[in-house]
Amino acid sequence: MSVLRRVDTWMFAPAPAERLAVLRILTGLVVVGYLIVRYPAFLSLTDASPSRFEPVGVLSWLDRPFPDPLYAVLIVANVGCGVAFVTGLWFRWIGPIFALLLLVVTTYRSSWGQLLYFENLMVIHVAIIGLGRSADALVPGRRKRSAQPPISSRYGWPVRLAAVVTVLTYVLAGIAKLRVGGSEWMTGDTLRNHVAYSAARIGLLGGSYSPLARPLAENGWVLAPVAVATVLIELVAPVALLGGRIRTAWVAATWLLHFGIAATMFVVFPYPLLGVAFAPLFRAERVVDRRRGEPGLRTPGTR
Amino acid sequence: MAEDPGWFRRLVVVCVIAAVALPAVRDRDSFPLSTYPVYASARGRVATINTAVGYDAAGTMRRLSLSAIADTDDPLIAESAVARAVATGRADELCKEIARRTSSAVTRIEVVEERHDIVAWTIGDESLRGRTVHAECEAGP
Repeated sequence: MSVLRRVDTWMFAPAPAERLAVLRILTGLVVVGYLIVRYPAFLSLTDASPSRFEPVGVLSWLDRPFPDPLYAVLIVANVGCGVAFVTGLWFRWIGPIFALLLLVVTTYRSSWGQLLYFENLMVIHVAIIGLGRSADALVPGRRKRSAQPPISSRYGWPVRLAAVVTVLTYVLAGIAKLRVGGSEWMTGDTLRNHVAYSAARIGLLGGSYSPLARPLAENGWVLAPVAVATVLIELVAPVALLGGRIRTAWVAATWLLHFGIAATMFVVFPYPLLGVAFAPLFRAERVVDRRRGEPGLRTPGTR
Repeated sequence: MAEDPGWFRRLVVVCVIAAVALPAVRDRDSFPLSTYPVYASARGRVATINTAVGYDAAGTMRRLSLSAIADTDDPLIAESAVARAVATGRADELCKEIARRTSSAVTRIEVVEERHDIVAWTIGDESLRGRTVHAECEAGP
């Protein structure tokens, strides 16, 4: 079998509708929670000086900020659609609308002179899930067994695509470190300096920084192997697509990486820290404990 | 017999993967398609940080809060807001905005660029290597 054929077979392997539906619920819950928790931060943009406005991405055509009430309405509508997205109701409309609203709201937030990297993967995942057949299962009122859809590639490929996007973003982050920082990123004191810089920046701007920053700055040698491990973890991310223990090991290592960043630099990436960024790499339907063991479910990369 | 996913789904898969990878090829960062350059630089030990500080009536310097400096709880956004104001010649305007957000204990604001040995700063040693005041304004009622 040619490599291309193998890739095609893997990408379009059949999966139960529950796998995509669980991903819909998990992603929707995280996004709704994130929008609610960060609502004050999103809304604070309505007080920002218009001179700071520097639109990016799909909003790069704007020549001035949104009227304040419009942005507030967009955030609230995004939360409302998110709740519907989680339930799966009216999904043919809600899925794309929720994805579009999230894209607009988060792009707007990154349009004030500072690109933020906490939301990229979440937004792309929601777009994939929102445009897929993600509400053919686990929707209130559709519990009769006769209504259960058959195992199909239509439920498998959005999950596989989301998994590929997850690992690709880590590979890009690894490439960026080598391209921008060069080999010095791994061999020098770069990671110690990043930890120290985060602490100094937060401190000089009036915030509270991690209590771990000082001991790590004093003992920078501790971070030297961590720097090498960081770049390796990012560059070898595609091994997670193989499934099994190697996937689980990579996910654990990557999660620890995010945990370390949060603990030492107070920079929190909620989507991977909550584990949802890695959900497409697993048989997510296990959480609802249905169809387990049926033929055809153990497709490559989903052990 | 395996299902044929059809050309449209294959095209979607190829387009999405290409779109996610494209910023790295073009070396152009945006949102949500990004080169993911966060923490990618080989950072040195001395760094310049733009910030704002306040002084009370006795002339004692007081560090201002993130919300006072940039009306945010995110240091990335606050740093960017001050750096951009300095770079675009709007430090005076920012200074007045900060003055409106500060407590009454502060009587004077400075928008500054400080150069620090960041490792020395973090471990509590003398760290200041240089300081430029870009704007100064009165605060308080």
